[in-house]
Amino acid sequence: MAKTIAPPVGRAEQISRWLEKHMGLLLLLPASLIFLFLTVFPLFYNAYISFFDYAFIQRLFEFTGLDNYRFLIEDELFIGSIKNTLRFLLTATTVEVIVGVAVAVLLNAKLFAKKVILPLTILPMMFPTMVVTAIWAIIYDYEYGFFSNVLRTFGLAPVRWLSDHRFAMESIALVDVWQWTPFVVLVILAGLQSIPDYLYEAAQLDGASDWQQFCHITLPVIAFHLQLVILLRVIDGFRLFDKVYALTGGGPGHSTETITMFIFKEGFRYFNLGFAAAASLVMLLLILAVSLIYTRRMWREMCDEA
Amino acid sequence: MRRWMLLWACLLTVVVVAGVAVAQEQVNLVFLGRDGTYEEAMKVAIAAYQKAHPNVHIEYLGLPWSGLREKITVELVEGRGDFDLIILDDPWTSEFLPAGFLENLDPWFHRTGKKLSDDFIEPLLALGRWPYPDGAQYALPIVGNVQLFAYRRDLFKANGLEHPPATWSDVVAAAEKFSDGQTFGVVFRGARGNDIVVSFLPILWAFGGDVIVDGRSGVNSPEFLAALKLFLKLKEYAPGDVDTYQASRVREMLMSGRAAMAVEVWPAWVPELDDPAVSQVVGKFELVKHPGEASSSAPMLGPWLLGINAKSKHKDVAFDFLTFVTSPEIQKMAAIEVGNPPTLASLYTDPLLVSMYRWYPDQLEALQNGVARPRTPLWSRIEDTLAGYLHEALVGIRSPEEAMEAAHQAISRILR
Amino acid sequence: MKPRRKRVRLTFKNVAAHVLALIVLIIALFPIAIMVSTSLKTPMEFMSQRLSLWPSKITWEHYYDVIVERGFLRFLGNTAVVSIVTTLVAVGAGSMAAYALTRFRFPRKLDAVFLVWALVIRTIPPIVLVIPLFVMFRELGITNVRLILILGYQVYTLPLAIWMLIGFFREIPKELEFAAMVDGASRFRAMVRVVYPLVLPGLAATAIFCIIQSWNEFTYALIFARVPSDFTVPIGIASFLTEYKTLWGSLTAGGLISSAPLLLFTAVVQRHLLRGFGLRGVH
Repeated sequence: MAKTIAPPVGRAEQISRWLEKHMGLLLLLPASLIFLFLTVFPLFYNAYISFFDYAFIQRLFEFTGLDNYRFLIEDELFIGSIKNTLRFLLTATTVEVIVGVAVAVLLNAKLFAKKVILPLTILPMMFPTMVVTAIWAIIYDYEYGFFSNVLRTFGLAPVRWLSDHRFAMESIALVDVWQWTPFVVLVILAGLQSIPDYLYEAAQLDGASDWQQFCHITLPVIAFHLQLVILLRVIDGFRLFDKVYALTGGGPGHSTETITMFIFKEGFRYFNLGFAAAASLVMLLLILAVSLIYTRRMWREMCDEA
Repeated sequence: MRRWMLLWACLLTVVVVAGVAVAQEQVNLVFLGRDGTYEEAMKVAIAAYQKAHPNVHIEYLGLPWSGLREKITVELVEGRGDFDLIILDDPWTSEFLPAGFLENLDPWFHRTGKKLSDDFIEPLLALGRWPYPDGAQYALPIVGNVQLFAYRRDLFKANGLEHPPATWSDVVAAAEKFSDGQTFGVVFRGARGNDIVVSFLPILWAFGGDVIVDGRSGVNSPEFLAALKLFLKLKEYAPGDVDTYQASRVREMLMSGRAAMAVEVWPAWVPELDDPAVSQVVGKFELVKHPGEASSSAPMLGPWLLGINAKSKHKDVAFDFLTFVTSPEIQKMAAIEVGNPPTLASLYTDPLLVSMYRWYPDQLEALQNGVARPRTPLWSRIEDTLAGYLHEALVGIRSPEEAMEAAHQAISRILR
Repeated sequence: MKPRRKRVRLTFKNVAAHVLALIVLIIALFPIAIMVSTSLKTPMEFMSQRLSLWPSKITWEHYYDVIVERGFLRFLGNTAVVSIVTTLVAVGAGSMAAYALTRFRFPRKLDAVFLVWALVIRTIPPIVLVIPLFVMFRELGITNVRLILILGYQVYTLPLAIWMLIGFFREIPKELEFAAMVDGASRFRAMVRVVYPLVLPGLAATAIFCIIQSWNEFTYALIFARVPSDFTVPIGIASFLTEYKTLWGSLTAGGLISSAPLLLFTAVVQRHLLRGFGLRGVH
């Protein structure tokens, strides 16, 4: 078959053809550039700085190898901050999940005016985090706070929610619980709604109690949602910073100093940037480890089910 | 018709040219300072200066204490000369002066023929020099802050105590007398951070101890332990949540008459004590220098100093303003209008000022005998670290011995 | 067609359920009620240590104070500007990326890598990236606070935008573009003229989520906005808490003012929000 000779292609035509051919990559370019410059590069830079003694004020930048990491491991405040963060995570996540599941089950029942109740119940989640923090700062205040007023009305002594080292962290966790349990409720509720009614009715006919129904019908179905929500809350928990900063600043003593607070102080109070960079990398590794272990389990379970 | 238009055109041109000429002469200074009463005091000075020099406009940026140091750090290190005048809290001089961020003032005094007044209270002036205490002058003190001890004269008299407490042990004894259900014998700033450290230092120094001794941590000493134990003893006669107290709460306690003594007050917030609109204890408080113990009274100096950014583009005008704001007339005005403590000795014996602020003679004595915090660029960090462990001792997380040991370890590591 | 309302029987279980639901509602709402009431109480009253939910005398002084004296409008302005521009950039770049990811094949699993990275970024706490970004911005001489925040916020809004938009773009059938291309339009034209108009509601929903997220951002704003005139709303509120301990009237008034735009936005996207969670039968 004779080949048809294509007409000569002009410059503009060539460019527009090239653009069309690579359109996919070009469209991906802006986002990729943003990722590259604002996430990938900074991470590598962070790792780089962590091997130096970088004192911003004195304009010192000296290679010290693994010294920063060694100091970190020896630093009891850093270890303490990890403990505090884990303590917060455990408390907040556990309470949020238990209460969230309970409320979700409740809201899934046949309720009067459900369409009004649901949006109202998730209202706490809709407020800006700082506003939530501010409200609870007022509720917790020793002299004039709501809780103190209530206790006094009943003749009890006010409690130092944020200044007693034994439970200051738990008080902060309570704020987080109030704010984010609605999130758990929503996720679990979605899972619950996928369970058809007749399963429960059949179980009831067979004589199963409510609790048995819950364990054998509800739980297996929402297992995936549960694990998802636990993972998300845990990852979020590591990021805890604004509430601590505004409510206690790390006090009393060091009992509410989280890893993020530690990094903030080292980096932006003492301007010890190399040390702070090392601490943030350790934190990152910690989060990665936790999420990987967890996602692998989830993944495996999902695959098992499939 | 044409003639009128021509006239207006000429007038307009003249106005525009004049405006441009004036604008070119216009100098814009930017002043990075503190907020609150300090801001009001500086604004008084700025208004007066702008009146005398209409071609100068000074823009004032007042920041709260937390964050001010970080802002100054970033601004100075960056070195772009965005700010001409910069305020410093005295412990920060060791961080910023050696690094060459501020302009050396000595050549400016030479150049302009002005003299560095010898009316300045020497310990305050020395804080603005590098190397401390007799190197070149980089900043001048503008707020004569020094800690004072406050006590209720009327309560003391009623209990047969004629004189203010001479030692801290006396303070404890008196506190015990005055504590009943309603009133507290003593109150102090116990919040974790700068608050608890400045409450503790005068006691530590009175016992003969210090945080840094010969460049190393002096925390691990019997003096420190004794001071810490006394500090904890004071807590027994203080409000239950004193470990969250900052200046505002202490003030409140004093003004409502619920506290008989305050471990430390700063002159800037004191005038309210005699203001009948807010205070229940008008005229009942006396402010004196701190009690001693093993050694004599050691009130802590805490002046604010003003310096010129080495990268400023208007150093001459900035210097002129600097000498203006520290002149006797302006300092007196700021003291009268806002209650700003002066840094010139003669003003503390000025009859008008003494009639307004009856503690001025005591304050002068405190200023002249005051002790400054250790001069080290690491002070912010040391203070914060020390605060953490002091707070743990105050709240009961650690015993005084444990807190002292932990603080010693941490501070030694910082000083290494 | 309205679904037939099931009659709720008066069994013990049902009553108990309703009582519990009421308790849950109270717990969810009482702090908000406290905030509203504190913003309207006179300082005298909330310092009186009396337990009262509703103010005995309503005062608007705090709202006045917060707007006129404390410059809250400035904070709102800063936050609005930063959030909106951030969102424009994120939705712009994100929609292009989402379109590409749903329409094209990529060599060497580039698309998978891209998506996974977008997911991984969200697990990184802001403080980790702030340190290198702080140094980088200084070195590059970028000092405009709003610009810094707009760039910094991309880290969290861009992945969000991409993930949400992929869902929306997937819903648009590819046949539509092919039809347009058969008619002679270029690929690019097809994308802009055919697909984007259809995905507009999705873009809007995504934009609102991005704005909500930027509004709340704390760490970057804390470190880069150091002068009160640069503060965003969260930093303004935090500075209230740490500096002026007992100005609660103003704090709560300011809090309510700052929540209003966000609550409005959330009400608008509530349907999408609940649908995103997979909830049926709501609205």
